[in-house]
Amino acid sequence: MALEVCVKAAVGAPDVLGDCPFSQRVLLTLEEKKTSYQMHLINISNKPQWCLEISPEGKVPVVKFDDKWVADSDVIVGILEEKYPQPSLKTPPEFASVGSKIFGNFVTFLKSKDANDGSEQALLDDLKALDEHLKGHGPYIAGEKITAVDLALGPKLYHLEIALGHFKKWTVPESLTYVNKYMKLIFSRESFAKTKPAKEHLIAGWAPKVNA
Amino acid sequence: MEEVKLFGFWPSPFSLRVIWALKLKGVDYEYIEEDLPHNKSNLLLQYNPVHKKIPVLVHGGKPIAESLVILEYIDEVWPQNPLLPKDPYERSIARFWAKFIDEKSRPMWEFFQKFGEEQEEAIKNNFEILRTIEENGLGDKKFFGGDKIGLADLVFGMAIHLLAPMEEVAGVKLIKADTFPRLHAWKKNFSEQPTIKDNFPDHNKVVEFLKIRRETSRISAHPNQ
Repeated sequence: MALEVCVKAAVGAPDVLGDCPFSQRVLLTLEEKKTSYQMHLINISNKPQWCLEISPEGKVPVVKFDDKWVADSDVIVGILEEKYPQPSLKTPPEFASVGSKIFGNFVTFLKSKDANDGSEQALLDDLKALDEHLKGHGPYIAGEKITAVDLALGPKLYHLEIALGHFKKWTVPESLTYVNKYMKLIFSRESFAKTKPAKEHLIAGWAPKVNA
Repeated sequence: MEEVKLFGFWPSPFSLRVIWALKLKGVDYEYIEEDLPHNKSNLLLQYNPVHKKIPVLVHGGKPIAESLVILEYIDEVWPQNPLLPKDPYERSIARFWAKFIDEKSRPMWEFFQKFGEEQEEAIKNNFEILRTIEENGLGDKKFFGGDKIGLADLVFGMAIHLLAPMEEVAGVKLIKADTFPRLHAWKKNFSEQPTIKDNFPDHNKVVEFLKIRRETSRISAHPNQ
């Protein structure tokens, strides 16, 4: 029986998969584990009643396990790992926090209107740290195989590339060779191609926050 | 000195108490993180064929299993910073409380795996156990071991390691300053000890781990909860 998954629909295109990186993380996990699932696209600005009933704060993603809806991508991914242990996507605890600050720093830099507020440098520092890590441990964060931490970070790096490219004409410096290779590696994976948002929807998703 | 290895699991308080004992005594060891529950290493199964569990201490190739047994072994082999007093009667008291807390640990975690009425029962049960530990076990002492931490303190360490984050995730307060003042003070004193402070899993990681456990319990609980 297929798992039911509620994920964000694209802004302005309710029949198309949206740009939520946390939703994508869950979909990536399901794809990598080859678990069959049924997707419900949720229009965030006009949530259907049945969705509000299962997730009172209207949060996505939510997944239904044994007739119970579970929210929080961390928890969902944890339960998926337990219920479907093969193939294993477990990240060894020592690598679980690699790159964890990148998304926050990306958002700060994206929204920043002051070129000198240090937000660009903060992001570059984090990317440099990731580059160093991948140099020693790559190609994936935990080594040879893709694991949960890659599936969590991948969608966020995609957002970083597209949004900063569009709004600030900014790209990840070429000197960060390992990060660039890593991004290409993850983005070219079949599961990623299947679950990624279209560029225009990603940009549309960020536009109100950047222009605020 | 012969080689020391420890097979453990980072969220496990049974594993953590052994780490504390080794660190308190300044013993060098190699730590092997086991991927529980589905992927136990062959070495672990070889070293602990009876229980197939962590923690397992391996000293000079010889395995010791069961955390309380391991703690006493460590105390005998490396006598510096003793975990047990010298006097036989006082040792028996320390062992009594270490055993009591150890046996009551899993029951004390039940409130976290239960919902509705069953959870209420489990919480009531916890209050009784904590009352006993506070009044009969700790009494007026700073630590169960007296002025310094001892065997029973290492075992009650789970109150900070797991119980506190469980309280946070389940939204239930068990040890409060006004209801269990001495245990509350103990928590503060114990967690400020340098060896304990420096060897503690990241709080957020524990909370994340527990959130998954709680949701897993909720999914398999009765439909009306």
